[in-house]
Order: sequence, then C-alpha cells, then structure tokens
Amino acid sequence: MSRKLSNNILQAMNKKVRPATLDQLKKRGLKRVSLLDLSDLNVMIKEAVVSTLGEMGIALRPRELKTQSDRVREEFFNITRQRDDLQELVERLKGEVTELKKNRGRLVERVKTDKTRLEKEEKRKITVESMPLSAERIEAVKESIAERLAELFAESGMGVGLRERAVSVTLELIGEERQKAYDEALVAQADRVTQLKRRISKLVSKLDETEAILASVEAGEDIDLGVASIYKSVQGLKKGVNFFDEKQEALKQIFDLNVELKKLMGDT
Amino acid sequence: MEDGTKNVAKTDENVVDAKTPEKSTEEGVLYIGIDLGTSRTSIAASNGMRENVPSVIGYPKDVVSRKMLKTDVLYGDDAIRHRLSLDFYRPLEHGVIKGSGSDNGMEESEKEMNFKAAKDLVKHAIRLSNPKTDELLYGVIGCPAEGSIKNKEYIIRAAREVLDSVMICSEPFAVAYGLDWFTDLLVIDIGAGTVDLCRMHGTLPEEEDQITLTTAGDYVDRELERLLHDSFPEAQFTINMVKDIKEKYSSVRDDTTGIVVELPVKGKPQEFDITKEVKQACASIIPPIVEALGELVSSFDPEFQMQLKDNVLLGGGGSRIPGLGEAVAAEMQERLGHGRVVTVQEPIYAGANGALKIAHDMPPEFWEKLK
Repeated sequence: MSRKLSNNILQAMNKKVRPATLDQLKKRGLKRVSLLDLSDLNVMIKEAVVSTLGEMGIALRPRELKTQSDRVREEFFNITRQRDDLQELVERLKGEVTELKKNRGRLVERVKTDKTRLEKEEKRKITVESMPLSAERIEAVKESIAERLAELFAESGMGVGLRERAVSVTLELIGEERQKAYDEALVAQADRVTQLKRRISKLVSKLDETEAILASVEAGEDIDLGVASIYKSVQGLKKGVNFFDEKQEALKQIFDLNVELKKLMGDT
Repeated sequence: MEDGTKNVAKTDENVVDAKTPEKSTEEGVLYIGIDLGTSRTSIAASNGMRENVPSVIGYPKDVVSRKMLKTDVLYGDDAIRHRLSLDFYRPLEHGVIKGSGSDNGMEESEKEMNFKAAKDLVKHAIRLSNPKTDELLYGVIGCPAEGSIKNKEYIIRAAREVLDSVMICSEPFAVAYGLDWFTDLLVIDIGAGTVDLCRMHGTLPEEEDQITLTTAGDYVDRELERLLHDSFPEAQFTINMVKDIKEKYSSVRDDTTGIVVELPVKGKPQEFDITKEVKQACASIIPPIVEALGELVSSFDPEFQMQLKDNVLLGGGGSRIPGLGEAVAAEMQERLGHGRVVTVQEPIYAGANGALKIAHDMPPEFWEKLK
C-alpha cells in the first residue's frame, strides 16, 4: 500500500515537473537549484503531520502516526490527481467551445442558404406551358392519341375536317397531360416550401441554443453539456431475444398507429 | 452515416429532407421513455438518467411574481411551493390533457392554457433526461390508449419540438413490454386520476381490452376525508393534509395497527387513531377493480381465462399501498374463483422503463419515417 502510494505520488509529481537544461537555467541567471526527491517529500509530510498533531496537543503511537502520515500522503496524491483531472476537463471544455463556435458558423451558413432556397422556391413561377413532359408521359400521350384517332376514324370515316379534329384532340390530350404535371408540381412546390420552413425553424432554434451556450461560456457560468447516451448508433430489436416475433409484430403495430396519427394530424 | 449536408438533395430533384442536418448517429442516439401521468411524469433515458416530476406547472401571475421568482415558468415541486404566486396548472386529468375531449364545457382560453401547460410539461420532462445537444433524440411516450386524437396530437406536437422522432404508445402495454410479459396478461395501472385495466394477448390492446375506472388515488383521498369527518367531526384538516396522511400511512394489510396522527381541534393539536379509516379508504378501490377484472376475464376466450387470472400485474403509484396485491388476489379468489397478482418492482418508473425499451427495440427505419 505504502510503496504503491509513493509510486503514485512520484508519477503525479513527474507530471508536474518542468524539465530545464543547464543552459536554460544559466540564461535565467540561476546558479543554484534546490533539489527535492520523493523521500524528502515523504519526510516533509510526516513532519507536517507530527507538527500539526503536536500543536493540537495530540500524541500518537508510531503505528498510528504512520497510518495518519499515509492518509495525508494519500490525500496529497488525490489533490495532485484532481488538479490533473481539472486541467484535462478545462482542455476538453476549451475544445468543445471551439467546436461550438464552428457549429454556430455552420448553422448561420445553413440558415442563410436555406432562407435563400426558400425565397427562390416561393418566387418560382410554375405555368402549364412550362411543364416539361417526361418520357413516360409522352408515351402515354402517344397511346391516347392512337386510341382516340382510331375511334374517330371508326366514327366518321375519312370525312371533311377529320385532320383538324385529330389535331385538336391531340392538342387537348397534351394539354391535359401538362395540366396533370402542373398540378403535381404545385403540390411538390408546396411540400418543399413547408419542409424548408420546418428545417429553417429547427436550425434557428439550434442556433439559439448554441448562442445561449456560448453566451454562458463567455459569462463564465457553469455549463451543463449533457450526459452522453450509451448508444452510438440506432439500435433495434435483436434476433434471439425472448418473444421476438410477438415483439416485432407489436412494434409494427405501434408504428402503424403513429403513421395513422401523423396522417390525421395533417403532416406530410 | 451521411454528413448532414448530404441529407438535403438538390431542389431540382424534387426531394428535400427536413431533418436537422447537423445531427447524425455519429454523435450518438439517446432513447427516451416517458410516462405522462396525471399525478407524476417519469422519464428514463439511455444515458442512465431517470427522473420524475409532479405533473404540475405554473406561470408567474404578474410582473411582481415574475421578478421575485426570476423565471417565466416553474415545474413540479417548485411550482407547488410557489403556487400562490402562480397561475397554477395540473394539465392532465383522468390520464388525458384537460380540454382535449369533444364536449367538456371548458372555456376556449382555459383549454388553450391547458394545452400550453401540457406542452411545456412534456418538453420539460424531455429536458430532464439531460441530453447532449448533438445527439439524435428518439422518444416513446406512454399515454392512455383511450385518449382522443387531439390529446395525442398535442403530446406529439410538443415532443417534436425537442425530439428528432417521437411515437406514442399505450401506457399499460409499455409497462408489460418493459417486463417482457405481454401474452395472456391483465395489467392494473393505479394512478391518481384513473385505474386503467388492460388485457394483453400478444398484440396491442384494443378498445374492448381496456376499462378505465375513476376510483383511483384521488378517490381514496376523498373517501378518507369523508371517513375522518364522520369519525372525528371535531378534527380540522384539508384534502391536502389527507393526501399526505395517505401517502405516509396507506395500507390494506390486516395486521396494520396504530396509525396515529396529530390533527388540530380548535387550534390545538390532538392525537387520533385513524387505522380503521385508512384501511377502509384504501380498500375501497378493490371491489371496482375486481369487478372490472371479471368483465375482462369473462369476455375473453374461455380456454385462456384461467391463464389471465393467473397473470395479473399491478402497477402505478397506487400499487405501493402495502398489502394491495394480496388483497386484490383474495377478492379475485372469492369473486372469480382464482387470482394471482404480481406487483411491479418500480411502480414510478415501470411505464417509462417500458417506453424506453420500446424505443430501443424500434427498427431504425420506423424512426426515420416518422421524422
């Protein structure tokens, strides 16, 4: 116990030692240095204990004195170690503050980008005429034209005005397809606007949180950075657990009910 | 996992992901289970945090109170302590948000304030899990399966302001799931506002699997108050004092003796032996519970009725009444011919633990789809 303690103190002291070469000492004008080794430190601790107890009028037997000295040495080591831990914590916090500042920069940038996108999206004019027809839709138009023309030929043979009617029907069909594409594009645009608004709102709230933390740091307040989860990744039901099938089914039911609820709430 | 920016596809591809881009599983995933109760709200999280708070909230009445309290909102015990300076809300009643029913005669403004209070309470409960800011937060909230859509909607909307993805599930189911016990089982959840009885048979309980009684904790308080008035008309006490007495001395055990309390008589404290009254008030919830159990058993497949009676799980704050499990089993024996009752070990956290387990087991793609 005692030897281990001495080694611990030695290690803690070694961490604190700042090496200096003779040249460095000379440059600082030092010609003599005081040396203190571990045995001196042990003796000093013991003497401090004896002296303090003496002042308090307490006399101890050698064995009790040794126990007390060991305790004080242990406490000395703990304090040294705590100071190291604190130093590490300070360094870690400094790192986290730097990271927070970077994060704030990223958030500001993202809010800006998303706001520009939202503005652009809201201004974007969609017209029926500007609707491009995809390959699938053109194929559908072709099929419809063929069907309608076949019906026309069957109804009216090769009479006058057939060509004009065929053209008119063709244009009508293309118009209908464009209208469908236009309606879909409007819905998609509305979705994009809603999603961008939600996204911006979350980013702004995140930015506010980050700003608040940084303000606390600058004011020198205590910051609670939260307690980390034991999971680094998303988990899920593991095969081989009890009632695997029943649990899988129940989880699916809970999910389905929540999807249903989301729909009822009118969420996209 | 993709970088946050990659989650956002180009506009011309017509796909925009609304996820908060700076969060990814690289920073960790915090699962949170919440039991939103009429009397207490409990949370359990995958970072080891477990907290519970009285389901009450208060907002300073005026500028003076605000200045004195130095905050815009107080929760739980803090709110109770300063309730005279606050607009005080207990937003949940009978397991649901007050005013979320279709026709309850409540003023619109009062309803709105209750919803706000409920929302703030849910957000506060989540914050109690002390999450790191960069972790993904996935939560499951246990609430009564019978609650209205509006009730659930408010809970979800409140939670979504803090969580990245949220689901709600039936509270008794969460308790049973947490204990790995959800086939042929009867769950009795005794809360302050309601006693929820639920029949489990491998799937999520449906309407016919559940019965809700209002003879719960608050009912015991009122019953004890009445009995004390009858037996000791000279004693002075309030319902809050009665509640405290119940919390401290509740019991239905036959061998309970010597419950003596001091109550003022014309301003002078006097001792009263209230053993009989306490036992009688606490036992008053047993007959309705067993009657409801009988209904759930008798409407079940006769082949499995015996198994149901053999697997009765007693939970909720009310299950802490000493001797209640044995007393319910004895009453079942008398009325239904058999009964075996197991009391959950951690009544306050059983719901939250179960919700946490559900959150943990939920497949990742389900969370993604509900974002």
